[in-house]
Amino acid sequence: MTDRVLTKTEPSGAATASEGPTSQQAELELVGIAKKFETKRTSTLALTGIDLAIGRREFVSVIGRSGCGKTTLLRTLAGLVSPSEGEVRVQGRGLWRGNSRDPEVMHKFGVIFQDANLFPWYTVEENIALPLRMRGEDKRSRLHRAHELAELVGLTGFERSYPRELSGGMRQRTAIARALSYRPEILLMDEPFGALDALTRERMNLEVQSIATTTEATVVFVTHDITEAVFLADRVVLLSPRPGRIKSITDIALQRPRELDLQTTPQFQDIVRTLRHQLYEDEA
Amino acid sequence: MEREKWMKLLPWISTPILLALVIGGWDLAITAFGVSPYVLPRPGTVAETLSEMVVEADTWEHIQATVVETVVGFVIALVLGIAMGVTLGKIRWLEVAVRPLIVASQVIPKVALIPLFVIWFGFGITSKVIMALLLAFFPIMLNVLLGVRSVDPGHQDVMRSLDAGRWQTLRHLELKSTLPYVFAGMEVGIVFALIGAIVGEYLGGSQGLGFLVVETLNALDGPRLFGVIILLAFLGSLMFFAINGLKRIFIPWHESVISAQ
Ligand SMILES: Nc1ncnc2c1ncn2[C@@H]1O[C@H](COP(=O)(O)OP(=O)(O)OP(=O)(O)O)[C@@H](O)[C@H]1O
Ligand SMILES: [Mg+2]
Repeated sequence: MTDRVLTKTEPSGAATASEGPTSQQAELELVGIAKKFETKRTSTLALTGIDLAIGRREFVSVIGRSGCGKTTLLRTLAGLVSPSEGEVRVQGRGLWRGNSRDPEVMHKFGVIFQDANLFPWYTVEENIALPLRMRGEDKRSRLHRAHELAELVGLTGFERSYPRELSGGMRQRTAIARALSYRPEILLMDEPFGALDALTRERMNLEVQSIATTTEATVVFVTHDITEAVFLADRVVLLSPRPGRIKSITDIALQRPRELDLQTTPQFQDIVRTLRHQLYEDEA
Repeated sequence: MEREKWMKLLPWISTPILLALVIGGWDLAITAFGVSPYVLPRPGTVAETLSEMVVEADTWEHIQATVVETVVGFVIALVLGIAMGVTLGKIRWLEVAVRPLIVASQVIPKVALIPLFVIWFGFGITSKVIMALLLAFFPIMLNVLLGVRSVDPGHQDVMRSLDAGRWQTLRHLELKSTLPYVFAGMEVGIVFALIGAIVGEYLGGSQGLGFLVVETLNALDGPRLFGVIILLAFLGSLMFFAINGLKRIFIPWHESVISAQ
């Protein structure tokens, strides 16, 4: 990790393939991805010509205006949407084999959605332990793990609560704990804090940073909030809309661990300003 | 918190009061307007008759007959309704193919079919069970169908992202999320089954509370007729609350259970 405070911004239009910082082999690769949605009335080209390589333990934020294809990009990465063109590779292995997904690759992913999507019929600990249960882990060890994770995300004392008894932030913490339960190497998050208030959101951002550090996971984090994206990321990928393509990739070489006060420093604000200008260029 | 406690207690206080008001009004109306006891017996008389009826072995045999018809019809309707609801919910083209038939059978007043059942199956228990089954089947089947279709897409995404198999998705998601719909169908279904059994008894046979209604009517025995009706009301409530109790055991997490607490 870089110790210097340094930023490097590739100018807009740099839709060229970008190499991960440590790249002998990329952890996660999108090669020539395009996605077209065909419905009865319309056909939408949601993504086109996406080339991106993400290094091991790298934290990449994806930003862009509403409808530019961020969710589609993340769902394509997660194997929830099959690309119309191109390939998703994880540690050199293709995610798709014909119409089915490589289960070994799928197990490397932990996906966190905008909605917590907890199962209301299970308690917090049961929700967290569900992936382990499906992998056949015995009750004692999976509950032990669930309690460990509940502590990590600050839910101690609520293990036996039902999701409906939790606040929005607590639900999202539970969803994060659930995704972490089976120790995925890659975390894929789609606006996980979009529904939270600003204060809770900042706290959650600090937690995501420390989770990413302690779990040594590679993270792809989709958001529409530039500050959040810059604060968390090693690199910020900016998508431009219709069809969604990579407009720029910005290295954020700010020291870690990052404190909230960082957001008021000139360096930080410079990056945010530049990105905001790029975002608004599409308006015209 | 105070308010919530009060709201919980309220039905226990209001129900006796309302009941007393209705019975008081009923009694008052009779004395005030001089209604004939053949048209409307006095509550006291009804209570007396009822207390006589509940110690007669005969009454219990009739109750038993109605309960058996209702429960057998209901259980068969439950099994068929779930099987059919799941099948139609899962196989889209099949549902589209039989949809007109379902709508048509919803519109037909099924009670009108009883004479047919009597011709086919006689005056015994079978025609009543079939009537109970038929009335209970549709609300159960339609609710299950709706439930199967209403699995949250976000939940499905979670299962897909966890690479869950068919069986795991069924067990942890689809069954659990359909269960509240099954119970909603059952709550309507049990009451419909009772109605079916009673209407079946009206039109033929020599057993059951429905038969007792017709018999007391023919004898112009007002107090007994009222007694039977009250027994029926009790029976219906008992069955409904039995299902409701099962619901509390099986889906304690569901809104319909929580908000009723
Ligand atoms: N399942 C789908 N079927 C048809 N079109 C779709 C589907 N999913 C997304 N799209 C279209 O693809 C485009 C990109 O959608 P996407 O959800 O990826 O945007 P987004 O960047 O995540 O937006 P937001 O910030 O509002 O979440 C949109 O034009 C959308 O209408
Ligand atoms: Mg989105």
